[in-house]
Amino acid sequence: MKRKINIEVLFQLIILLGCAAFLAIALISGNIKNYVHPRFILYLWISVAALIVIGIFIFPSLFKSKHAVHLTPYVILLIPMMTAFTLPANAVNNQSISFGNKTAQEVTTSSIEKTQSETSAVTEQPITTEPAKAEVTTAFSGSFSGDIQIISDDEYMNWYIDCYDNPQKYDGKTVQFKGKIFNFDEAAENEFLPARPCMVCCAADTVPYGFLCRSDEIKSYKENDWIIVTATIKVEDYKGETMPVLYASSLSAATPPEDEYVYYNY
Amino acid sequence: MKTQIDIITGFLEGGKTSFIQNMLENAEEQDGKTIIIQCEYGIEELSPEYLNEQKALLLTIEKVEDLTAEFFQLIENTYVVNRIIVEYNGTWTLDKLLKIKLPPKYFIGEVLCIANAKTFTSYVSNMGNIIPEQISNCDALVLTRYEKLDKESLNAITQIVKSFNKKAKIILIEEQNKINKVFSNVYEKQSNKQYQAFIIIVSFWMLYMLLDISQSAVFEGAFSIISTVNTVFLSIIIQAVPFILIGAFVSSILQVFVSDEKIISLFCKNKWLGFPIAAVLGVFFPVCDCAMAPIIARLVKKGVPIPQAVTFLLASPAVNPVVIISTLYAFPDRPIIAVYRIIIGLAVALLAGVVLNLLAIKNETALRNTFVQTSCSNGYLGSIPSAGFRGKIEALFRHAGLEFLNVMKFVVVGAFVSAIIQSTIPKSFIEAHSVFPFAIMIFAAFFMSVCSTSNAFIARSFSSIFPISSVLIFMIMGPMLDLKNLLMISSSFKKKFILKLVVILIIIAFVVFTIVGKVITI
Repeated sequence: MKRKINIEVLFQLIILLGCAAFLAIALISGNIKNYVHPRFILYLWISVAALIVIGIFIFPSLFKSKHAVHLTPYVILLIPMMTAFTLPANAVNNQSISFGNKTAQEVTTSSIEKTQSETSAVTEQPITTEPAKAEVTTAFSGSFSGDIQIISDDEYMNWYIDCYDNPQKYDGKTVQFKGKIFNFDEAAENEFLPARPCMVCCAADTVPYGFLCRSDEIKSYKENDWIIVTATIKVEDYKGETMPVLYASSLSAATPPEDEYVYYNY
Repeated sequence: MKTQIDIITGFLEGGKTSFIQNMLENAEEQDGKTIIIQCEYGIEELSPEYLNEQKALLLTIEKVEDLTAEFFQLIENTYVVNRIIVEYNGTWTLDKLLKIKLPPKYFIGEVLCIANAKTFTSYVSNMGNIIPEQISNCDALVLTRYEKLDKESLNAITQIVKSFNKKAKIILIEEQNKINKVFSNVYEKQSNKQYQAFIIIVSFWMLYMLLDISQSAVFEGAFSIISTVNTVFLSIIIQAVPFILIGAFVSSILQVFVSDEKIISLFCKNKWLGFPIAAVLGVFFPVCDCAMAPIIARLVKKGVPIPQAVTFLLASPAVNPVVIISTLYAFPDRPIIAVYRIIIGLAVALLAGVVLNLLAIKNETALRNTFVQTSCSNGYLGSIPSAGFRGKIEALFRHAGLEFLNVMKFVVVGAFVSAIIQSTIPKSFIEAHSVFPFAIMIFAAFFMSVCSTSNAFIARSFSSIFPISSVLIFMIMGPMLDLKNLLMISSSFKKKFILKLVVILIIIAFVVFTIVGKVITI
């Protein structure tokens, strides 16, 4: 005989296991990094396991019939699951999240000070970034001899930090890296910000990490385009701040890097 | 013509039999017999003459095992039936009857629980899981002999019922017209239930189609916004999931393994010492503030007074080691900011606790369900075993699951509002309003839904435009006033209480930060 099942418990199971499935798929595919900082990966794997175990414990109640069934609360929970499975993770458009992040404007005008404090944060931080940083220092100090230094997508964050930390070291050097175009309010016609969106915690708190760059070629690109910038670094005063400014010799269109975001570690 | 089976359950002496008589006498004239399936003998017997007069037939079931699909099939084959009324045994779980596969023509109509108002509360407390199971399944609770009860006791009963089954109606037996109302529109309701799931699926399918259309070139712009909102929305939820699970498990452990007395004595040994203890207890919970909501609700349900519990909740982000470290990294050249954050955070939390204490807000007035024996935070999920270690582990996980689902729906709503606000408010908004730093920072605190462990990094980006006291408002008040967190605690607390708390917090914040603004000038 076919048994009647409790729809309420069915919904609970769909939500718990659906949530676990989505997280597991996103974790395996690496897509999760478009939503949250990689430091959550371990927690999220544990969560997947916990959700499955809870599901196993709830499962027997599926066959306990229930008369008064209330499904409305579970419908609310199904909404994020639907959108999670149907909509792609979009690299968050800077323009739209600027409320919390001050974005380009802030980076260029008054917060170079902030960026510097950031770099010292990393310098002082002993465990997580030190090895990476040491690597960067050796990588960069050796090969700057007038040639173009190519900064790979993975090296960008460390180089960026080092560049604001020790701008003199890079004065007059030529670099090439991939970045996304951000505009800012007080930009002159040839000024823009090639940057990588940096995630502190999750997609709700990204901040672009980039450089003030000058190039007449920028007119042929739109905001949010990915480009490869080849530029010479000059340490200059910009609105009262001493900072590296890039003079681009060439810009070329590029495909987005595998990980659009860079991640801030503390 | 379908045959409706109404189930009348409840304990002995509740008045089931007289209620059934009432049903028979009020029924409209119909062809066919009314079958009464009696599963126990009440005080009042239905005499053969009476039954005859009402065109009713009495069948008796003595053992729960006799209630089978074959039994109902036999009824269908033997009689011309108009309706069936089951007088159910109050000591059997309803699940046993509900799971029976009925003949196609039969369906379950109304499930009513009849209870004697005078003994109801003590029955619920002493009879373990049977009454909760029955209440969670019933459409209405019918109270008899309620006349001598004062309003307060009636309210208490209502709360108990609502804690197991939010939608159950409560009917006082004299109100005949209400009883009739319960029985009207049954067919409509039946179809509602059957198609509810179907409608949900169809609406999701339509949503999916809509998104499909929106992906076409015409709507590209709109789609990009939707997908951005969605990414922020999901990222807030994903980030919260591990911490809410931690909160759900801690809450569940408190419920299953720790006695009420132990917890209460921790907070209440001394009338005033409880506050500082509550304030520094957060040091031991180095997790995101999302985890705190289920824990705090459990503490209050276990009897910790509201003022102490709220102090614990509000102070935890201030003393959380992870928060302190992240603040130090966010402002490496100004470690004093982390110190301010701790001191001011503790001050606001303690002040809020003291104000709540002076207002003498009782747990009963703040909690949604004051019935502490409720084994689950909301709703009822079968019988939860608690005997033995294995039973306790099972209880632990099922509890945690319910708590998680219960809190998650509020997180979803909060994350949705935050995602929309973050994605639509233009960049210039905050600069344009930098004249009112207090108001704008409180606004940001409400809607930004950034965890206390990372909000220092966001706060830092404000520091170029706003004075440091305003940045501190954002960092300190953010976790306290966060919309998502407030919605989460609203799963256990009354809206009125939360509103009161928010007003108190804003007033305290205004006073404290006005002073801070005068004192700190870096």
